[in-house]
Amino acid sequence: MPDQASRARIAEQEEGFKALWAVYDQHYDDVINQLMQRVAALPELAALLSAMSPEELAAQRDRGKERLRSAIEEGHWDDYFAASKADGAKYARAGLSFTAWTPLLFEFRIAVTERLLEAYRDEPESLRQSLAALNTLGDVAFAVLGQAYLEEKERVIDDQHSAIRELATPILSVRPGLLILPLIGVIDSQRAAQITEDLLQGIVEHRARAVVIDITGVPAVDSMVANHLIQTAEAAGLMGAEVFVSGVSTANALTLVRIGLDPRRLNTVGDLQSAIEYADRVLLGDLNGHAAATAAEPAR
Amino acid sequence: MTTTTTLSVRLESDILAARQHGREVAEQVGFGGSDLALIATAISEVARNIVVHAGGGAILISELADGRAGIEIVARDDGPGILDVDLAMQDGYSTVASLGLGLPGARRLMDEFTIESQEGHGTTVVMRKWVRTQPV
Amino acid sequence: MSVPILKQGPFLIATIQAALSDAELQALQDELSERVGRHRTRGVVIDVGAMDVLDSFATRSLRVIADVLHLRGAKTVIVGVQPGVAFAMVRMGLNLQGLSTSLDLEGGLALLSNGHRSS
Repeated sequence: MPDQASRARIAEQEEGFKALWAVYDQHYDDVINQLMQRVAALPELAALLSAMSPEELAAQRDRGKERLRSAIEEGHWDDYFAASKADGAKYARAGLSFTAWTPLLFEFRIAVTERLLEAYRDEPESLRQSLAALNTLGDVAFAVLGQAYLEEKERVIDDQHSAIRELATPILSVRPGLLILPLIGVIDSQRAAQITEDLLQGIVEHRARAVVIDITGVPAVDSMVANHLIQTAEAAGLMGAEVFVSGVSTANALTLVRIGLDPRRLNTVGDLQSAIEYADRVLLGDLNGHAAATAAEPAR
Repeated sequence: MTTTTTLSVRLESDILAARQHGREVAEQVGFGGSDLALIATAISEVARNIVVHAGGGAILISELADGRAGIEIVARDDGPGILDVDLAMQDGYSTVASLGLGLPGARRLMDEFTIESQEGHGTTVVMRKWVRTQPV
Repeated sequence: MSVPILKQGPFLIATIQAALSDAELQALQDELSERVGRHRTRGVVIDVGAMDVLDSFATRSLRVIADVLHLRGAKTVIVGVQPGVAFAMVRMGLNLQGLSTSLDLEGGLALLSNGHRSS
């Protein structure tokens, strides 16, 4: 909601706002139509508004007009900005990007300025005051809407993070004895421990003898993640299951080498397909799993 | 008010009693499956240390409620003390063949771990572990 | 002898019920060693499924038993390590390096029979 400074600024420009409203009131529907045309060129916003029927859009427009009138003529600015705040939150919840809605506010200023210039062609003082009021209105509305947008966006992101964290570890049983664990996203220490616990439990439930942990979806593999992978592999080993880590990008491989990962402590393979092939060989028992992964591969 | 139980540790059978009691307290505090194993194992290590090297001592197990839930284990003995604590806390260090990994291993299982020892005055180990909570 | 030991063909199965004292582990080691010699056993499965803690002492003891049995001509497979126990061991830095492991008795016997894991 507008802060003290903004409220003061609005109060000082009472004359200007009246001059602004005198023109805006007359051209309100035209301005809105102009804005709607602009919206048509903004795909994200257009999608949002297309969900409303023409009647709903008209009703919304009329409500907006009444709110602004009531604010300018009767001082009910709180109601006006409360609606701006609601809009900001709505855009965030709809998943709109920041640049999806900002052009609309710019278009608003342009549209109203054009009409003010026309109406107050011969009244420089009214023109000056009304333009100043328009600036104030635009600035404060932008700040209120923007702030609401950001706050809601942060809340949505926090919710998503919580949801990701709460997702049960995805353990896929593809064939008897083989488990695939695709890791996605940032893995903090807590999540890593949870993943290990879930995987070890999964080994018991599925009587798995081979596990492929795919880290393609893990953006940054640091020493903490590497240590967790090693611990997971060793713990699985104590339970008779061989672990292969697939999806190690070149960048991650370099990181692992740099942090001094002993290659004998972890079976790593470049891609998921190869990892599954190694795992299959463990399951079929024609080679000791560890030897298969670390033996020099003849050129394919 | 934190609840503390004191268990005397002198014989091998006391090691089992200490870790079983520790497991029960940990369960009450709200620790989950694998944390129970970690805590029981850590208690086993420090308790065995007392039995094998100090000839006797005590283990104090307390519930912690310091804003978050946790468990504290204090292992106190009046043995000969460790000459060089830093050296003893290194993996593989051994005065007697059976010392091995005990204390450094226990440290890796707990969230907080302090050890004080003076030659001729015994050893005190304080370990704490907190219940894992989801960040808000 | 507090640990039940069963004979299954050329193999022995020892099921450890609970934490064993120093003396009991020594007794287990002696008993297994003697039986391996008597039956000319090729392999021994030690089931630790009932053990809720495997600390450095227990781990060391298992390794010693396996080494002794190896010298007596038998391979040892440890089975039944509980998930929580495996996690704790690994966090501590303990491992059963050199010892074969399998999830359960069936897997352990298959490992001993085939020389590799069963399909």
